[in-house]
Amino acid sequence: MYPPELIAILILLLVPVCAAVLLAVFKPDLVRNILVGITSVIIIGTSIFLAWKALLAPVSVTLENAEWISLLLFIVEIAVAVVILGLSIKYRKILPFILSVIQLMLIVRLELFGIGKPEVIQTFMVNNLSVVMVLIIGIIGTLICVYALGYMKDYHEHQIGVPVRKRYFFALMFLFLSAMFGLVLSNNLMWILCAWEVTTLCSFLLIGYSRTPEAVNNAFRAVWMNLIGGICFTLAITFLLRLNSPVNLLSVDSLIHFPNVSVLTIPLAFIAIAGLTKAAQMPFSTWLTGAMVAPTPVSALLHSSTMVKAGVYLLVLFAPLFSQTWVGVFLALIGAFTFVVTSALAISQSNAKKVLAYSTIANLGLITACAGIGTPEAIMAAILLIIFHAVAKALLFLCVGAVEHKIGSRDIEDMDGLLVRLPLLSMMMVIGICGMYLAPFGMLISKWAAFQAFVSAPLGYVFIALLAFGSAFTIFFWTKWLGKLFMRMNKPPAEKIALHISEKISVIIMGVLVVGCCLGFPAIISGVIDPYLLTIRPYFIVTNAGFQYLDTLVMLALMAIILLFLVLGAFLGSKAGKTIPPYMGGRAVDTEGRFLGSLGVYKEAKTSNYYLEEYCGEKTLLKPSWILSTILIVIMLVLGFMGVMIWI
Amino acid sequence: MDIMFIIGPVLFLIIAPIFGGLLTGCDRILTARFQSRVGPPLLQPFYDVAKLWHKEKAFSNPVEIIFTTAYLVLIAFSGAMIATGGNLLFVVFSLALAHTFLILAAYAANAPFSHIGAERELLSLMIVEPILILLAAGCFMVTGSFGTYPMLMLDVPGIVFLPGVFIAFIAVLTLKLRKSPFDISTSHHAHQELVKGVTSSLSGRSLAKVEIAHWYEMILFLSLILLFFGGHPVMSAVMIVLVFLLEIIIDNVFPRVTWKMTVKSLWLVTLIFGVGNIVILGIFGGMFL
Repeated sequence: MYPPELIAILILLLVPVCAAVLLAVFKPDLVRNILVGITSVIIIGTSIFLAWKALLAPVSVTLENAEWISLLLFIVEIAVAVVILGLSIKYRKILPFILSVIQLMLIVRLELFGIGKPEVIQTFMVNNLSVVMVLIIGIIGTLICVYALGYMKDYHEHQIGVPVRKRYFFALMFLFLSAMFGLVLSNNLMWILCAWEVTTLCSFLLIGYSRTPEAVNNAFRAVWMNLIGGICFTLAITFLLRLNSPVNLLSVDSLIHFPNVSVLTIPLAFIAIAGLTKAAQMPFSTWLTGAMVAPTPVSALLHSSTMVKAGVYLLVLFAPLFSQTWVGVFLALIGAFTFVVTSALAISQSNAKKVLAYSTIANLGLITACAGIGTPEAIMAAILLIIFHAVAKALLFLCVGAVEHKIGSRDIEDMDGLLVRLPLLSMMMVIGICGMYLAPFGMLISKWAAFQAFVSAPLGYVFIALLAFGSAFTIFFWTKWLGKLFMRMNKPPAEKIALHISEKISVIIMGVLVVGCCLGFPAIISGVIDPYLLTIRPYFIVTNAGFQYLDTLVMLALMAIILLFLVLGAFLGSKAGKTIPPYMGGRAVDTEGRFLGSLGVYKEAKTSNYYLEEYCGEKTLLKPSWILSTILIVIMLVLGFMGVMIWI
Repeated sequence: MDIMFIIGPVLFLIIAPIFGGLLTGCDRILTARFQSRVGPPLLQPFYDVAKLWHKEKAFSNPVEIIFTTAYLVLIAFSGAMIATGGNLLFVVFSLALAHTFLILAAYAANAPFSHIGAERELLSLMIVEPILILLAAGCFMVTGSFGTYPMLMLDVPGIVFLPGVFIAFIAVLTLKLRKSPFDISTSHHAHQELVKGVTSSLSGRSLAKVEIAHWYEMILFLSLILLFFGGHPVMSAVMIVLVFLLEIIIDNVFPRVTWKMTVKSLWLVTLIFGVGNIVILGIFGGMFL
């Protein structure tokens, strides 16, 4: 009999696949709703169970017949490559075609000649980092799928001309969940590679869902960038296999604990590039912003809260190794640089989804920077960032998606006074935005942890400087969005538009999760992250600066109490006083806030936010930062090949 | 230390507004003298606030009551945190939160002038953020802690290690004291609505709260100067007076600086002096300390 942990793992891997098959077969909406509902409950329940088990004691199980599974996965990889090849030919795309051929050849070569006799390694490892990822995928991922049930109905009502392919859509969503579980649970690098390729394929197909020329173009851009990542991953494995090692280096577990890091710099550099592509760091950022043409659940699931997390998961996983190499330093530099540039780029955007996309890339940049530095504090900051970003960003995406269908626009300029027009959604949006950047909420706590990590890291001053400017940009673009929501409070509420029940459930649960994570972060640190750090700490260069834990908690608590009183005051406090029309330079103003123009006509006064296009526009910033980041990547590779280590 | 933990913040909460009001009074008299006027009495700021407090409650949007209260409370809270010797990074973040509330109040007022004011206040928040973070980082590099007390306990005044950060800090102080530039969020020079920006739609108690918060903030920022001259009370006092006079002079010499120039010039100063200082300290840190 299998142990319960293994059964849980197998459920997580196989149930979404089965659900995907069933969803691809059955057409009626009712069946789909029931299927998605049941599967979601199973996945959420199982992931919580597995997380609980793994937190008690790290799970590590070995499966028999692993060779057969490896063979199966090899076939899957070839199938993935063939699908991409086929579509590249169909749409006449040269670059994806070439890259896909290269990838296919590399994988075939690796499978046939690279791996010697299969050695027994642990099949699945669930450490606390994987637990975090499992919970994110299991809870947030499935909630987004549930949300998609209602969303897709509206989507096809709004997007006339887009063929309805809901079966295809939901099947891919669940296939993707399964691949993500495979990615974070497997201990075998070959299996991780396979899952990696499947996520690439799923995102490719989902971005191109609407089949408009823009969608197709962006889908192919995503696929070629991710193929570069796949190729680098394969190369990393190839180089690992050329090393003479007493332990099997394909096992992630033994790789992390490998004593002689200096021989690993080449594979590390390639893994770093693979992580950078998946996490959409500069210069690969355009695939993520392009991916926003997809339906919002896709953006939420693939491109903000889960898939891009695969990239940083890999980087954080290998962070202990990065911490000792110059590859890590340059990886961190690319991350920090991306954080600054994309935060600035977010200022110039008025499209809410694009702002979210850029802020996602920025936060991933911060996580990458932490992973590259790789000290215990930095890893703690990285994991906190992963958690808080996943919940808050998913919430924001779901809100933007729903709001778009209600007000017919995803432009932030059109969201003025949303708090009156759509109270529930904008309330949740406010929670999400506050969670993204304000004290004492989640992201700020993690940013704080990142600061603490940076000041004591080698070359830390560079990172501090980059972070200082980056946070300034962050404040700018979030606050102006937040402000828009509070504008024009005297507008009447929108006519009654019902939110789909599935959307409502997901949004509310997600909002609760954001608040819960913010309140429960000390528990997350002491219960999840600290034990994880302890298991890998012996391989660290020990630093002295700690997170000044108690002081920080007391101050944060004080602040939270103040805010609580303020919120209570906002609801209960006296609003006695005279409401006067807004000040329009002394002109007469009517009840709707319009001013009396010179010809005796009431006109609306329109002001819009600052976008600083001249300084922060895509035209100004994108090209120079591509060049700069490419140079950084090249230097990172060179340093990897030279095998330069940090001496401390 | 333990007693200071209680006394410090209480003292700050009581004394800061008094000093802040008096300083504003001095400022107004001095500025008037610069422009060959006599100027108002020293206590005029207090009279103004007292009058505002008793005005009729009127607003274009009731949420501004809570937003301005939040602004005042959080600014005072940040100051009190400094007085407890608290974490400088935390102070930076909580100041940012406080200003966010002021900006939201301006947004909620729903009038073009206050909206533009909100945007400009946001700009100034963005301009100030990096140097404050660099200041916190600099203090950490010197003392190994983000707390404020270790900076005051140094044998050698902090400015020896952080001269560049000090210069950059003084540069952005102009902005924080609501001096130059002319057309940023809310200036003391009430020539037109646009210049009053954020506060143009506030009246009565809300405006009074913003005014008191400004006193707190002024003292908070001036007290940050202490970090550079910790352990040398006389020198600190002299420096604070000098800096304050310098700001008044800057204000009267450069009355018309646009926000674009402000962003460029202040960030250039931050980059060259602030970042430069931190980088040099980072590279040679081991040798100095």
